[in-house]
Amino acid sequence: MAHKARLQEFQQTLAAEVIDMSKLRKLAFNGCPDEQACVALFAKDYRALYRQFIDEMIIKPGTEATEKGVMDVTFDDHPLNPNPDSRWQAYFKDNEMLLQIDKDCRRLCPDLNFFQRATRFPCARLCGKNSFETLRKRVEQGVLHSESVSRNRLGITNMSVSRRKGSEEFVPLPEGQEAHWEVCERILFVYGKLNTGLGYIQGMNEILGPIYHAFASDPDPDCEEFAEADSFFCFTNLMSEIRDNFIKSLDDSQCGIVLRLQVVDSDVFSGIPPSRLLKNDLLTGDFSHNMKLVQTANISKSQPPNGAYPEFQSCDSM
Amino acid sequence: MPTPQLSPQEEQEKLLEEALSIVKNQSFQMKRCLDKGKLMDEDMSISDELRHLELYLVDEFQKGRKVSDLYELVQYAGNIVPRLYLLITVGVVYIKTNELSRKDILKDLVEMCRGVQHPLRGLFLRNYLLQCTKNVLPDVEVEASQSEYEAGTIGDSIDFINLNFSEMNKLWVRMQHQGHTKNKEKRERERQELRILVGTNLVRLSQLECIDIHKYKKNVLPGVLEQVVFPDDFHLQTLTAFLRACAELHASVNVKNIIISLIDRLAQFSQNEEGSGIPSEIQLFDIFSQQISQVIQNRQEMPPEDIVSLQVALINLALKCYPDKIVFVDKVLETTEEIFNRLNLDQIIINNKTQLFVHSTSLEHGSPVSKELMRLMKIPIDTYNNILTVLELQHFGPLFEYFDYQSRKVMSCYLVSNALENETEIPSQEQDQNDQPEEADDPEDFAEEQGLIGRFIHHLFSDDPNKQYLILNTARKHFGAGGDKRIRFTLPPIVFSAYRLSHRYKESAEEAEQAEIPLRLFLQGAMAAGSIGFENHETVAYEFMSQAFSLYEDEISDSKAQLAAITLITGTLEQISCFGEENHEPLRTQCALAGSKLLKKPDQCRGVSTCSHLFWSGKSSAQEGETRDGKRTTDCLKKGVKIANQCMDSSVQVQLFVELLNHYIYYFEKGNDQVGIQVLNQLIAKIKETLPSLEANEETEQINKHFQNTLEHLQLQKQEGDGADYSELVI
Amino acid sequence: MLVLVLGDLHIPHRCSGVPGKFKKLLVPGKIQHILCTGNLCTKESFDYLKTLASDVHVVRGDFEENLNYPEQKVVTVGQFRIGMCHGHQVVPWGDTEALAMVQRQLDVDILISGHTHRFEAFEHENKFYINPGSATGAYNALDSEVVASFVILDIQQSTVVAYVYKLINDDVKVERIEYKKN
Repeated sequence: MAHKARLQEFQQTLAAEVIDMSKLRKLAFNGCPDEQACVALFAKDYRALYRQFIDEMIIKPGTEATEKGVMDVTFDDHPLNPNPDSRWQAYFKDNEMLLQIDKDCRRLCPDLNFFQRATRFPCARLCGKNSFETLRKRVEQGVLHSESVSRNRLGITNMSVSRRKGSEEFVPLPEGQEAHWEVCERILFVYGKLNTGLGYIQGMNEILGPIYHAFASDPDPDCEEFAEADSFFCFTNLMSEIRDNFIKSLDDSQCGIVLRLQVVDSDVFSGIPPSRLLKNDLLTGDFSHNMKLVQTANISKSQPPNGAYPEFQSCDSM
Repeated sequence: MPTPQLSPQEEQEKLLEEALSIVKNQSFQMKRCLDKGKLMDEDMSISDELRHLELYLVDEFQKGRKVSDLYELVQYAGNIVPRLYLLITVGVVYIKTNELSRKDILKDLVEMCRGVQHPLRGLFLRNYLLQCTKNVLPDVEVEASQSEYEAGTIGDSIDFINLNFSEMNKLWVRMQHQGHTKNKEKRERERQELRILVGTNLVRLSQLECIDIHKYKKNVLPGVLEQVVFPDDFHLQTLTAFLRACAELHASVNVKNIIISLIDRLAQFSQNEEGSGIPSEIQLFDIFSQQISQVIQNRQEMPPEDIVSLQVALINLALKCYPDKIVFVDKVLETTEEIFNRLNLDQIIINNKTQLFVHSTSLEHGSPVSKELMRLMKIPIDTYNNILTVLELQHFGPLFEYFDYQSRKVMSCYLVSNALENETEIPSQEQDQNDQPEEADDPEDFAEEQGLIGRFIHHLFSDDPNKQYLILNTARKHFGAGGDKRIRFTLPPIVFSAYRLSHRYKESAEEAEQAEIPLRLFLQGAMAAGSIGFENHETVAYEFMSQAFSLYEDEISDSKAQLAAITLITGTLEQISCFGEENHEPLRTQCALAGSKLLKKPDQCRGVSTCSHLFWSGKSSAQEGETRDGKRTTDCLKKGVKIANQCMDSSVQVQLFVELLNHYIYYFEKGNDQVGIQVLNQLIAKIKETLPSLEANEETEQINKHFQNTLEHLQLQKQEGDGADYSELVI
Repeated sequence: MLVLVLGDLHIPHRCSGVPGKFKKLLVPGKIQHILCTGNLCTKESFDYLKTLASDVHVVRGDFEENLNYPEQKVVTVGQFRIGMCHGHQVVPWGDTEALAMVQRQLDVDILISGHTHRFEAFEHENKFYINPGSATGAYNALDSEVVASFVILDIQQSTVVAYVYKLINDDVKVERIEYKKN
């Protein structure tokens, strides 16, 4: 099909009142044309809503009170409040989830430099002056930059930087900037907070990664600027379809990942000798679902590219 | 096996088939019932059904059927539970028809039942086994003729029941650990209902006529006791008799384990079942205590560690069943002490015989006896969690003496750390009266004792000066809190102890580092004496200060340590307000002198700058408040400037000037009229002149920053203008 | 970012340990950094702090077993430079103007000092001064009424909120003080 014709057909399909999903799927089988933001656009309301989520979920306890002077907060809230209703307790609980997200996002798609680069649109609420600390800093276990004051032989008092270095795998970006992985971290955190039943499960980062990459590297400046909010909703919608894959107790059920993989097995890999699949441990044992997801992703990279498995190719080209 | 008659064989097969189908049907029903969880009743009905089958079979086989075939055939039944039920039924029939194989079959059956490990099913199965075999257990003496041997003897019966009993017991115990925790309560209730099944074994045992007292003691009881899962409450009633029996048990029987497990069990029992507990009319502790001493007396050869283990069990019982009766615990300790006394006596006699002079009969650390005794003594500590209660035990201390040094130390540490963990306060002065010997070698213990009387301090003696130092430090803290009345008596002894200590330090102070601690101690002593108004406190404080000075002069040689020491002495003196002018003046002058004599120029400069405060905010009792000697204060700073000017390195020089400028500003703002604005202007100009010529590096950058911050401060003061008058300041 | 500030433990010289009520509050997983004003005295105390957070900064007190701690230290937390000094070297002890000299020399926004065993937190010429007091309420010859206390700093971009924990009559009392950098 000629490129132009394809584009036109795409536009027609997307413009329809009710999008014909099966038709769209067929069209997308060979990848999406780049020129237009073919991906469905989000209404501006959604972006505002997302901003509101950030305000509600990332702003810390104790920061609202701005009264000067000494205040007795014994029966109010404070960081070591043992009361289970304490906002600080909730904050520390969130940190547990955040710690996992942080770990997973730092190593999101390590072969792409993209996620380590600074975004052009950092979150203003968190990166500007008089703002709150970014999520990364909340769970950072680093070592503070410190200088020891000592007196040298001559009697000069001076400060020398301690050579004690933390195991900093990733060099943090300067203040006021944030990397794309930090944006992903925030999206996953907000998603986890909104979906308390599910929370964050390892593997979600792999789902979000390509979506965010697509938005944030879109030539359309509007799309790029609101990549965070847009990919959040895109991710949320996708998750509503596939969330069962992330629930461990459903792994072996009708809607669980095992069955789906078997379907994939028969549909896609029918040409591959089963021994190959077994070698990949794909369908054996009871390892957790996220491993399976990661493995699928790995297979997608390791398969011969010659157009044999277009699904994965289109995935890669995202 | 070929059978001559064909039709009976066919008939037999038919019969067998019939029987099997009945059993299958019943086993199905049984399983359903079990699943439903209606335990006892349903089981009974199944048993009844099976008994019908049994009767039927007996009838049939008495007519001449081959029971051995059937016995083998039923073993092919598919499901294990019904198979075993069937097997038992048929097995019993077999026995009834042929006594000779009784022994083997019984053994076979009881072993086969191991196949069911599901607690509930296993229990019922074994119960059924027990019921069925009720009338077929051999009950004859061993001496019976050889022909009867095949049929088994009383010994086989005992083995049979014991094995069944222990297996049932295991299943019963396992029941509590099975299944989901949320069902625990229900399960526990079932378990309580089921223990009667386990107990049936004992009933059966008691029904055997051939058991005489000898057999009971030698064979039955030990086996039974190993499994002590008596229904605790009825066992309580027969306790005395039971224990007496124990005491008379044969020497080879391990009576220790029997009693200990029984005690532990009862102790547990008393705690588990709220409400029921130990009936008050049973003097559990007394009974045990008496009987155990009986046991110990009867068994001279019993190793001491075993004796102590018995006491451990006893003390556990006392603590768990009668937590508020300290007397009981003490009684155990007393008994133990007596036992050790006796043992030691024996030992001494032996020593006399062998002409050996062994004075110490203490228990070697790490030996089994020592370990057991330690275990014994830790129990009250852990339970009471209050050192005072432990010390109330009259016999705790004497018993302690039986340990050797190493163990005493371990125990003391244990005792003390327990006290620390529980933050036990030792509130009254009387406490040290009944001071227990175990405290003597641990200084920390005293640390907890508040308000010790003065003479006691001299008992606080440790070979290690550092430890001694800690003792005194803590003691002083507590006395300080004791209030004026007591400090009059308590402080002087401490002070003098401290003197003694510091001299000991001095003797051992070969390295300068050793002088650091006594120096600080002296200064702390001076501050304490200075702030507490007792007789002669000024003299005492002065003595402390001069001791500190002499240490400084004689022992501290490292230049860094010297500056640190003189800074600390100055800081301390600045805080003390008890000195009259005749004492304060020489002290502050001595400080200033020491400062100016430091090894390096920059140190000297910093030293005298620090000392300047003594002439300003130093307090002497002669005048109210601070000294405020503006002239002598600025003299110090002037000296500092002079020293700074002599410094060769310009970086050092500028830094010192910036520091001096800050000191001048300090006094200028405090209103020292000897500091004029022109001094500040001069210094600022001097710094501004030199600073740009310094080599640009990190150091210079820091000095520059320091200077800028100082200027910013001045600027702020000048603008706000509510403090010192900075109008003529040139920045 | 939560930073625990404490010091003058004097264990075992003057105290048997950190009060149980404080220990209960101070659990791992909450605090990211610890700034200690010194007089830990023994390694055991340092190890205890290490269990609360992996990043522990200590300056040397006058009763220190470990003489390798520096006399003074400057740590950077976000936009804040924080100076640490035990304070026995600053004559007169606890004197604001004397401490201000140290603040100017170290060029810091916040100066943390100890030694007096008395909690203090105040703003002086736009700089913030914190003395966490003694975490064990250790004896002080000059002060017969020592209250055990420590401080937790919640450091945001340009705001510091200090939470002070005091043990008064065996009850933990908490106060909150805010400092904004200009």
